[in-house]
Amino acid sequence: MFSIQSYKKSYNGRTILSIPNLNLTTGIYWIKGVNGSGKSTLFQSIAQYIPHQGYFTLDAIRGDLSSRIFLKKLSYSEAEPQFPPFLTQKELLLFTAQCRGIDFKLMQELAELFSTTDYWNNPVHTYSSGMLKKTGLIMALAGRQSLVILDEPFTTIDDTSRDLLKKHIRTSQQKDGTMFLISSHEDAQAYALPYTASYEIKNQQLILCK
Amino acid sequence: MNYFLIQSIAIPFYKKNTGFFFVVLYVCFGLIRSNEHIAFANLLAQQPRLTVVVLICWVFYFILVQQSLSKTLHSSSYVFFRQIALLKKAPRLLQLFPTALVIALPPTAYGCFLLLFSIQQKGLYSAGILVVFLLVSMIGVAYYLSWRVTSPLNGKNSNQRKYPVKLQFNKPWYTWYLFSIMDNGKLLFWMTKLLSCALLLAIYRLYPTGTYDQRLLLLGILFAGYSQIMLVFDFWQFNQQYNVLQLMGLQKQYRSRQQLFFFIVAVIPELIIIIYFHPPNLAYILVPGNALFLVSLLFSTFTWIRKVHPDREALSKTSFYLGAIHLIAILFGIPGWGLALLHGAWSYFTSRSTPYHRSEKL
Repeated sequence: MFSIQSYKKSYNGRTILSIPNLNLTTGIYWIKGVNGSGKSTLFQSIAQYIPHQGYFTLDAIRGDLSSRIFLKKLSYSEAEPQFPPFLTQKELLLFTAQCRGIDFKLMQELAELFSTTDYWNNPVHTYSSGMLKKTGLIMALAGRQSLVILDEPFTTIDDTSRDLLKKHIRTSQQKDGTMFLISSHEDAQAYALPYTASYEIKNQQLILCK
Repeated sequence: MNYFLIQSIAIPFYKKNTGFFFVVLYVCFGLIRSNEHIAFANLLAQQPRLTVVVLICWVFYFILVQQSLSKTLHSSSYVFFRQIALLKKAPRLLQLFPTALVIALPPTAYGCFLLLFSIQQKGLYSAGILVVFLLVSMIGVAYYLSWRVTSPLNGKNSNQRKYPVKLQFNKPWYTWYLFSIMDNGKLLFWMTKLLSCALLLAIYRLYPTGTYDQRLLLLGILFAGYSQIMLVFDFWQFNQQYNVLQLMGLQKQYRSRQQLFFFIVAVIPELIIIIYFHPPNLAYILVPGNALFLVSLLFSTFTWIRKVHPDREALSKTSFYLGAIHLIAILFGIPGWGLALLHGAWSYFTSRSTPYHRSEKL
């Protein structure tokens, strides 16, 4: 169970997004919005990257920066992930595995699934945007989180990886009961995912689509 | 994980501050002689109040550490680093402590040197203060890292392009240039200015004592010159990122002239020191050579950066390699005017086929 209470985010006095109350049960949720509508801002707020008004609750644990348990229960993949150019994918995955307390083999399996192991000893600055995206996705998908937030996960990756990602999302949701928040500027139907509900950000509000 | 943290936090810190460490190395091993270091260490052991001088220097160093780490850890490429918040507080600090130790290595090394002398001279009071401050500062850096990594990003992405003067077209364009040199941190700019002026002044005041030769004078100018590279780089970056000036139809020659004007204004304090404090026992004919050397040094580094790769990483690397070449050249007795001439010629021939020029032609 994930809930948002009295959420509001403003930049320079201008409200970007306001969500008075929202409760989500486990499932796949699609959040649609045009560029600059506030999808990434919402996700960054949930992941406690940026300050905001209101609060989030995940499995009865209130989210704030000091709540290690809350942060451990979720993972977030950015729309355009960036990493220090001199690090390799393997080093990044190893770091993630150590921080999250998960077996590195899981990371390796995911890397093999997304066919990145051939390059994982190369420094990140040699990667294409697709490879960077895959690295970010692997870091977010590994382990058993209650909530996985994916910011525009289907952009920049190839068709094979897109299918693999869809399959992985479906399996995780059905097997482990993981909740997914997926953002896109496209319709949910375009990706044929069994989503639970679809929302759209319009006029600084999160509106349920019928 | 320890090596990973050192690799991703401590090493970039040293790379980004190469210029600063160059100056520190020059002051410690060039300007201050070994017997003066020993004399100071002995004096410190006898007079604990003098530790205040050392502590002030260290506090300045840790301010630099704080400024540098703050920028690095809040850049978008370090967002992944926030995962370290998933570790419990004690293991997190334990993991970050070796990184803090590596970052605090220069003051620690000097502190150990002073400590040994203090113990030898039975100056236990001074030794105690040094040990306590070193330990506190290292734990402080580890705490700072731990806090900084998990603190909110303030809604800003530091890698995002930001316009220096809130991009107002009604503002005179030359204010953009002025702000461009301030954009990368006012504190850094003024500290660099202060440091390079203080360094030049110190060299010129010490020169007549007879213990310093012309090579050391040139080395001082070399380091003062390197401290200005950021300034030149900021101008260049400004042109690259905010090409509105180009789009506004301002000609390249016109823009270059204005930038040169602002650069000369910025280096006036250094030039005044060189001219005013030039030792009377040295021929004044050396002044233009030295001043030219300073300017051409900047220009050659600048053109090299433009050719190689336009980022600060390349800037640090280039400065380092060029600095090493200059250092060797000076130590082999090549005079300032000779180097200036070489730089001028080299810059002229290498600045032809840069991407910037190509875009101008288009």
